[in-house]
Amino acid sequence: MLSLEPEIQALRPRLGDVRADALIARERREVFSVYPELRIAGWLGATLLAAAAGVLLEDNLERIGPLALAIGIAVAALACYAWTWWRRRRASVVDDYVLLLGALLVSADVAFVESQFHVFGEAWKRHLLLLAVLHAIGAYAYRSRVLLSLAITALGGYLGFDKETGFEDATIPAFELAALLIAWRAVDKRLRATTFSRIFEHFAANAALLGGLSLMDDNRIAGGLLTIAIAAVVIAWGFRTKHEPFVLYAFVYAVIAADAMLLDGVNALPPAAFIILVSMIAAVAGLLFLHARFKELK
Amino acid sequence: MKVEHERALMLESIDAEAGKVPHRTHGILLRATLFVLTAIGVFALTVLWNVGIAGVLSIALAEYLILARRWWWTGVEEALWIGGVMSLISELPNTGADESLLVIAAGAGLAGARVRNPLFGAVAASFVAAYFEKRFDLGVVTALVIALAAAFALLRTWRRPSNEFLCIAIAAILPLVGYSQADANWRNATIALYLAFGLVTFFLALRYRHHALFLCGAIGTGVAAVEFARTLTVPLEAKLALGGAVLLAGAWLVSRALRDKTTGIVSTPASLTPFDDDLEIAATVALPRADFDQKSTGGGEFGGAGATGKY
Repeated sequence: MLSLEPEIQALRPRLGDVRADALIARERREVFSVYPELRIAGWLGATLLAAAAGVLLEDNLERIGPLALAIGIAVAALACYAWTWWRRRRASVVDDYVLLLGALLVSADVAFVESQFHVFGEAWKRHLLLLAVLHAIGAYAYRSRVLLSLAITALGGYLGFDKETGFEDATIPAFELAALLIAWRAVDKRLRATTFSRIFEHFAANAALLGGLSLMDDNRIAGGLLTIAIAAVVIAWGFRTKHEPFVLYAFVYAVIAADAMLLDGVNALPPAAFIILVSMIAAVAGLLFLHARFKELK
Repeated sequence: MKVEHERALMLESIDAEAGKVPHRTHGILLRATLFVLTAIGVFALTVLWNVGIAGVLSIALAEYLILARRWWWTGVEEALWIGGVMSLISELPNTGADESLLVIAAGAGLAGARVRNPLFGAVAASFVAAYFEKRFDLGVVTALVIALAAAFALLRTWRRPSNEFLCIAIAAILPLVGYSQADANWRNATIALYLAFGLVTFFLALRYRHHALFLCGAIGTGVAAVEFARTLTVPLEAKLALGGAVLLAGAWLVSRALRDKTTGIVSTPASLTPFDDDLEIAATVALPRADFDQKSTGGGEFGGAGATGKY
């Protein structure tokens, strides 16, 4: 056990009695919130149930039939959405995960229906666009950042930016996704003023940076320079919004791009190790410099 | 770093002024990034130079940073120390003896004690469990005994936060290390041991109200449940659905029972890390997603957010 009660007591004049008392109650475990545990249990429960639905669809096609399976999963998904909507005024932490379960069931069901009934025919990837739209509607209706992330992932899949696409083919889809997300963020900010901006920014930044790295497969120099340029923009954005994670991961992407360019054509181990050693020293120094500037800014 | 400075760092989120210490320290994201970059650099140095000299140089630089520049928990000096120690160990003559695992454990423990990094301590304990597995086929028991000792050690009031973090790391990581060494022939014993570990730590968690003990309880009962499910001849989807329903319904019932409580165990919003929301989104995005093959007419591959399959 760790108790910071003596330090908090000493800080009482600065913190005020109300805050100090609340913090001391927490230190003494007189008030102990199991909210994080409930979140983890809810998330695991929802994903296990969604996985069960996936196996059900996979293993019971002939026994139950595609139509009955599709309708059954759709009804379960609708029930989840309805439950969350019905309880929205007295929502508990677990209701978010019932909603997540509904969304995961919709994802599985739409993909299953397309595989069985070929609704979109040759343009089968449009089922991912449909999913993106459905999850986006859900995200706005329920103000859910998790559903928004599902919508963005489905949109990425529709554009061809997903785990199944080879990394070397991801350049154009990645930049398309980044551009769409920046536009979506602008519209969202102007029309709805939600709390979704940071999600759009992170997905767009990562898509653009991965797009740059992907371009390196075709053109090492152009891809590397583009990645470094995008990283510089993301770092500048991190400084502007005072959000350090942007700075950190953009910098790491830039280091990867720089090293890949420098190591291009180097076949012997000693020179490669020398380049990596020097670049890591430079990277540590650069990151410490950026962090110092960031602290000054804050 | 002195005890009072370690404790002061814990106050940073409450009062920035009180959290100031005469050391350079970093938050967890920057620390992890610098650790990885520095560890890659140390590895490159061992390739370039004599491994032993590279090891000594790394430790010397780490000590310079700690003593002269007052760097502590920055990620850099931690990577230099563990990289240096492991480089020196790799220079020892390899006899292939099982005891080499204990040498690695001692190295990780030494580095962990110097830079007070709880993960290094957990790595050291993991190698001890690996040694007992290799030598006596007792890896699971050893891991659970060490984890249980760490769980009980958490009941003590520690002055140094890093001691508390070491106990948390060992209590949470060792059961997983032990599980990686579990043998299918000993499934019933594994179930019994993990269930006992889970129930004891759950009891301690409820009695003494500690998040890490809840995590240990979840790991213990989770492993026991997974192994028990393997012994059942019911369809996979039924097992998954039952597990999911128990977790979701259980969480709902607990949150409902705690709804109006303001003292004792409550369910008011709280977070374990500053990144709880981001971690949840990242985990959700990482779930298996749409994997759809339209080429096959009589079916094909499909999937979608937590559910993939081929038929």
